[in-house]
Amino acid sequence: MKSFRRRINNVNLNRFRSLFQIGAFLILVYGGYYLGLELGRGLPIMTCLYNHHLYGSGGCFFGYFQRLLTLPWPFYLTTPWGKKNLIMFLVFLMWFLFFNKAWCGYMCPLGTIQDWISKLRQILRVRYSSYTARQHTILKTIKYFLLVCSLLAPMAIFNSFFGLPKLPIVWECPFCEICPGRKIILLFIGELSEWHINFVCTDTIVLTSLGIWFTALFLIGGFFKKRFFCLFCPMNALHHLFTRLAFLKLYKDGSKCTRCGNCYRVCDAEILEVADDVESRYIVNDRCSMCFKCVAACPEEDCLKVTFLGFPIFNSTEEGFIRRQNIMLGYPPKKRMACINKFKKKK
Amino acid sequence: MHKQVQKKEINNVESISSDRFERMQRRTLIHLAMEAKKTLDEIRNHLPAHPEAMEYFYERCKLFYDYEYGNDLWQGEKLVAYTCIHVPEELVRAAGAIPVRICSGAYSADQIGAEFLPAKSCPIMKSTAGMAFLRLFRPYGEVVMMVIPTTCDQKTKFNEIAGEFRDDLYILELPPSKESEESRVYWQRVIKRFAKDLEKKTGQRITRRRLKAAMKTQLAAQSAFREFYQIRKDPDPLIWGTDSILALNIYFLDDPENWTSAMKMLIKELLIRKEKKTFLATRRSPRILLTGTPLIFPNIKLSFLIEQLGGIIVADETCSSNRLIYDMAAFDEGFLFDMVPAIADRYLKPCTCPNFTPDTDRERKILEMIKAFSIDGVIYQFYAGCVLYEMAVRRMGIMLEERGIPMLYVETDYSPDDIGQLSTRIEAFLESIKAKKRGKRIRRLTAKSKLKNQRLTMEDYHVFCRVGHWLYRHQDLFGG
Amino acid sequence: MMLTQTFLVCMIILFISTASASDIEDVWLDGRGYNWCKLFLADLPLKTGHYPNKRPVNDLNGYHVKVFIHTPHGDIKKACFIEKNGALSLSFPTPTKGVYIAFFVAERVIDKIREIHISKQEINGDQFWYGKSWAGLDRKTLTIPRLTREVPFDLIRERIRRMEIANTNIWPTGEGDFTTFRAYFRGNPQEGAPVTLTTREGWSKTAITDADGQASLQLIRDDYKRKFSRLTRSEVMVKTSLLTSKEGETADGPYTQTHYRMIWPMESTPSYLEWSSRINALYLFLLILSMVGGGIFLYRFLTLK
Repeated sequence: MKSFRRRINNVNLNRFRSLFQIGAFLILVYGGYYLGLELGRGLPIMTCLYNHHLYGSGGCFFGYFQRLLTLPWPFYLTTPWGKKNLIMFLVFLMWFLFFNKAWCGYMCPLGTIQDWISKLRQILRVRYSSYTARQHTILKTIKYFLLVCSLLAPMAIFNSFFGLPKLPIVWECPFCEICPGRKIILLFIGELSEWHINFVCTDTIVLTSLGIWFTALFLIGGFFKKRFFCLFCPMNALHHLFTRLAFLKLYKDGSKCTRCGNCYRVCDAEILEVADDVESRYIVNDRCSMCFKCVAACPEEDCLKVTFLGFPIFNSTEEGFIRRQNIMLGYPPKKRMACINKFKKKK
Repeated sequence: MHKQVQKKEINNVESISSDRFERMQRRTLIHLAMEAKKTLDEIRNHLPAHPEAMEYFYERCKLFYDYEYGNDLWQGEKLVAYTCIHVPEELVRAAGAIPVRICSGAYSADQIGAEFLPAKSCPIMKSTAGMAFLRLFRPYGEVVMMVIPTTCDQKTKFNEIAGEFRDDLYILELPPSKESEESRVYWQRVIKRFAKDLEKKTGQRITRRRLKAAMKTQLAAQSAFREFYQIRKDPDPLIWGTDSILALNIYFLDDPENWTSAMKMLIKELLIRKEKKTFLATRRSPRILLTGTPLIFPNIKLSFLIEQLGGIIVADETCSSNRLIYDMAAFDEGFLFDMVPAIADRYLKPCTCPNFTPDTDRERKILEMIKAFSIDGVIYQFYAGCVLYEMAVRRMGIMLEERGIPMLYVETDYSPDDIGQLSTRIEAFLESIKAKKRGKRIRRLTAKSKLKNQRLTMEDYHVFCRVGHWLYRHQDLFGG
Repeated sequence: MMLTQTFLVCMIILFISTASASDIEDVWLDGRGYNWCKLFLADLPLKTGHYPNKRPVNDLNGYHVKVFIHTPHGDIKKACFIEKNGALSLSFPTPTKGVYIAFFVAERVIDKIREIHISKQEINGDQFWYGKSWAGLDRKTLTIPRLTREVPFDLIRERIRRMEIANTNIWPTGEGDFTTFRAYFRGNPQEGAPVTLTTREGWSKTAITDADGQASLQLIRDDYKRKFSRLTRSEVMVKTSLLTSKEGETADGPYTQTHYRMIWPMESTPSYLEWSSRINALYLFLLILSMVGGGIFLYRFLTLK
């Protein structure tokens, strides 16, 4: 058991994560058609609903949630329809509570696509952008604003808020219209029909144009900043409301922390609290996507811990850190030459 | 015979003739050699049971201070001399130079350097000034740059004072606080400029590959150090604190690869010792944490004294041993735009040097070490003239008192005059710790034998001691 | 006098019967009658007349009626009409995904001509958004247009241009699309059958099937009164007929010719070209990419420290 734990703590996290992400992407985007897999529409990640009935195996809960909310007020509690809303929400919670925000870091197809764009940037040797903590605080508000608007607009189709006019039916799923996932994930199955501007009415013109804007910004932002879209994802905001209830948790032991800032340096979301906060125990921020790169980069023994229902899964260890750094630094030239010479001798 | 470094035109207020300069050099060299020899003999003879692997480190010490060992170490190489622990060694190595720390512990040079610095200044700086003035740096390479970070007042002003006799000084601007994002960015830009200036001086571009290779050798040294650090946590002490301080001191006067292999041999030997259960001292010896101004060979006066008097220094929180290579840098993408700031961060953020304000990191580290190493007492030394450490004594004292850890503060300097007074104080401190430990042991034993209500006599105490000692010696019979 | 009266009455009766016989030309299964809330039950009332005068049909006197349901898995089920709200209607469950094809075949012999009137309707089973997905199912075989051999004369909508064949049965014809129909008589492609497409406003076009049985028609937009949207649906009638000289005898009497007629009401939708523009989206995308991307690149380049 101890050697098994040791092997897990020494894992090459970047490689494991890339492979896991590729696997999850293939299963979620193509699994419905090729594997016959059906995961329902309660998934807490941005797999596209529009892909769900074509090739995909699961649908994004956020899109589904907006459509579920297109009911008049009394229907929420009295009809079976309204009760179904509650059941679907509980299904979403059930999915989410198992893996907390690790859904974002390991399984979200949009996150995977952003990581691939980052790798492209690395190949082109372009420096990444970083934002200060104050800028992040300002950008955080956009996420919550999108969440609130996306959930209120469908409700306003059949109900009138404070006497304001009701919205037309095209607002039944506003975030689906502007989501970049709809356009980009469907590219992976060869559907170009989503890349259009809908001239039916002004609302659709605005929404579909915003969709094109957001897709372009997604691609550009993803190129210059790691995980750019995750700063604005309303699903992330929805997650953060329930993150403390989940089973998979990330803890920090502040007394062991030397505040070296390694975790902050490798963090995609540039969360300062991981490095500087030595008082709190639970350090999952609202931007955190639980990729556990910080745990992999921490050189102190048992400072950052990943636990599932209290059972420790992945701890930061000295040995693990040294191994991973050695892998990142590559083989020294002498060893490389020795390997090549050995190979030549064999031939 | 050794080769003298070419001396430059000394533009001094009191101009010294070249004759006199040479005489001073020769005299100091002899004194240095004597001092080194004396220290090494003391260590070898008065502290028993050194591991065999320590011979490498003793030889290395001798190499640097005993000028009868002529050699061509680092001949023809470019050197970058520096003080403090804030200069990034990986960058220096990647730029093709060899980093050499010139913080000096030599008393002989202290007296020379006193000419340039005020009377009440830190002996480390006086000694360094003396060595810098007399150009007595071993090894014999070309010093292209002398980098002095602006840490404490002494070092900051040393930049100006040393301008008298050196013209290759480089000021590395260190922020006075490391809390804010601005200071972090400031330091990153300073290091970036430093890297560029290094490239210019050495003529070697810092490429990704070279930097990675430099970081890799550094990482090997750091992992060896961490293993050594973990071994010292053992409840039964395996190595003298003086030896450890010496071994780690040699890090800044050695090639990292050689040092790493020597450390690995040392660790191997210590592990064999642990298996065979040959310990240096019993669990009764007070486990001491030494903190404060650094002990640099040949000034290991205090640690030597403590261990002669019965204590064991199992851990130390000084910048000449533990702080050197404790922290490890990590980066996300293996490109220069990420690696250089990562290195800069590693030299700033986790640094527990008290020149940063606030100094909570140092306090937390000391508390963590006390817990990890099962420390019985803390000895806090500071040199006369060191403002930073002296001002932190009060806070440290209050913090440790709250937790019930005894602390002894010691003000000293390089001169051997105060050994007598120090040994009295240290002996008393160690005795008080021993008594406390005894008291704990008695309470533990009496609790087990349910004789809480009876008053114990001295005979009972002796019986208990003997029983306890027998139990300890035969612990393998009882499962350890 | 009595003779002329009876003659007149007979003529009138004949006329009425022929009139009623000619009425059934116009009876079709209405696919818009399904109950929205009952997800897995298709409810097809029998209707007659054209927009805007649709009325339900209460009886089919004198006709032998057979009703078939061709399930997506290839089974043929027999059904019968039920009386609902004073009108005839067909109800059957649609539990699985796929296209169900409902036929009603009414035959009668009049004037030694055997009239066989077929009406067809395609229902997309479990088509609602909130139902199950296609996971684990072979979408192609369940939705592909297929021939029903129990019905003597069948018309299949094979292809709508720009759409893959698997979606042909799911999506309605778009305005501006070329639709290809293929007529089958007793399982073989039939040449010479006229296929007529009639929009709600009255525009119609006829094409004759060629040697392969195919006829291609382009639907046009005939209604400019309503504001269009992607969700607008309009009705289109497809009619075809065939006259064969086959002799035989049935319970009604002998016949020398058989006249097959098929009527198939479909839905049409406005063409996506009316409301969707892909090239504009591409222009906008490239514009944003170049401006914003270039802007950020310049900013980073100029503020490089």
